[in-house]
Amino acid sequence: MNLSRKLTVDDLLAELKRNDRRSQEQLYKLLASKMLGVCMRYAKDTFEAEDMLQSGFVKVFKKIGEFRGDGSLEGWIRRIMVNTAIEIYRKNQRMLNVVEIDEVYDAPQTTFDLNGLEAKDLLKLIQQLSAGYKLVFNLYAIEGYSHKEIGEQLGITEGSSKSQLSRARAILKEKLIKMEGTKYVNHVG
Amino acid sequence: MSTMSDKEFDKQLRRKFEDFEIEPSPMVWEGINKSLAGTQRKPFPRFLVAAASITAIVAIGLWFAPHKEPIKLYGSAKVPEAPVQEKIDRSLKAESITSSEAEIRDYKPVLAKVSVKTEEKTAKNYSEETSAVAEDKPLVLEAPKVAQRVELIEKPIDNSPVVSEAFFTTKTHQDLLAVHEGSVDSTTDKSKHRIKSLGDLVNFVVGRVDKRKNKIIEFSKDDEGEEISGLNLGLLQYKTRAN
Repeated sequence: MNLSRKLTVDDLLAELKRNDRRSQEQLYKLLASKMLGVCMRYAKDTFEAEDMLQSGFVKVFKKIGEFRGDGSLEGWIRRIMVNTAIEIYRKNQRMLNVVEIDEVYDAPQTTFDLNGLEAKDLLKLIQQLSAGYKLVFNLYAIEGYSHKEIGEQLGITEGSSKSQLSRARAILKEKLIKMEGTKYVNHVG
Repeated sequence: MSTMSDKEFDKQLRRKFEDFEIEPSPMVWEGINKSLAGTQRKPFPRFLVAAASITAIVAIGLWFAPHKEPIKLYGSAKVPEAPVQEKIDRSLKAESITSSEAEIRDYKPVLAKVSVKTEEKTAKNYSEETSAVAEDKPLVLEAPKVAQRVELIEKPIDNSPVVSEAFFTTKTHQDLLAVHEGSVDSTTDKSKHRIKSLGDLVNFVVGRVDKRKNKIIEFSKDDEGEEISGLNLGLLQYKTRAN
């Protein structure tokens, strides 16, 4: 399934570079759901995520000529989505100039059975994080960026990136414990 | 509960989202389509902008040009004069080639129209300087007739400044005519085309390239300076006065 998709996406490349509208639509149909899955982790709700997805795909189609085929086209498109999320975050930061303060918990080092959880549930938890924590956590834990890269992208120090990550993790763990608790309660009740 | 490393925690989360997909609403593709259509239409406005700017230039030209309404008076004052010029030109040629008496007589009355109608003084001056052409009998005989005609034209526009201008122009033509009479020479023709300003230069160049009667662009001079007196862009033509 994955292999056939990859082949199809890469096959579209030549036509995409000619701005062929039909192949643009095909690419969108192939990748939109997956990319919305990415955007959802960076957004606070579905509306924001769909906005991100839309401007991300517009960028993809406009910049397709710059894709040199170093990696997979899907990976390149995913990076564009992530960069779009970073841009939106920066824009909001400038506009609102918000100093976010999250309560920090010293979460106990416990084991979580995440296999029992649905991605949808986890997504809710991540979306509840404040914008800065959410971004750093996503970039580091899921996208695999280094603290140095995150610092450069967001204009913060490496140390700040590290501390934001650990706070984000702590908050998530705290929320997971709470969720486990309610689940258990629901089970019992 | 045993401890769990941060790395392990991140890894598990990452795995959870590996195949995570959500179907977007159809609005998203519509939005993408709209913005792409917007960018693809970009090449079009270039043509529209070019067309619009040409229209704007023409419109500005027309806006600034017709501010002198009395110019119409030129037309009426000049009406009897235009044929004179033509006839004289022909007479010059005729003289140089044939110099037949009959033909010259044809033109003399016409010359008299000009020389007598405004100032006798200049006519006299030139008659002294030159030959007996100005004193020829047919000239004198015809004079009163012409004077009457000119008076008719002049009366209604007596006080307007344009009229006095008209006088000057007729006077200069008169001078030119006298010169023509005295020495059959083409120098006056050349002086007419002397290039003194940018407008003259444009007229000269356009004259060389554009052989039509109404040139693509034509400048003329007056007291206030130069202005575009004629424009011929195919369907769109404009002229301040009959040249």
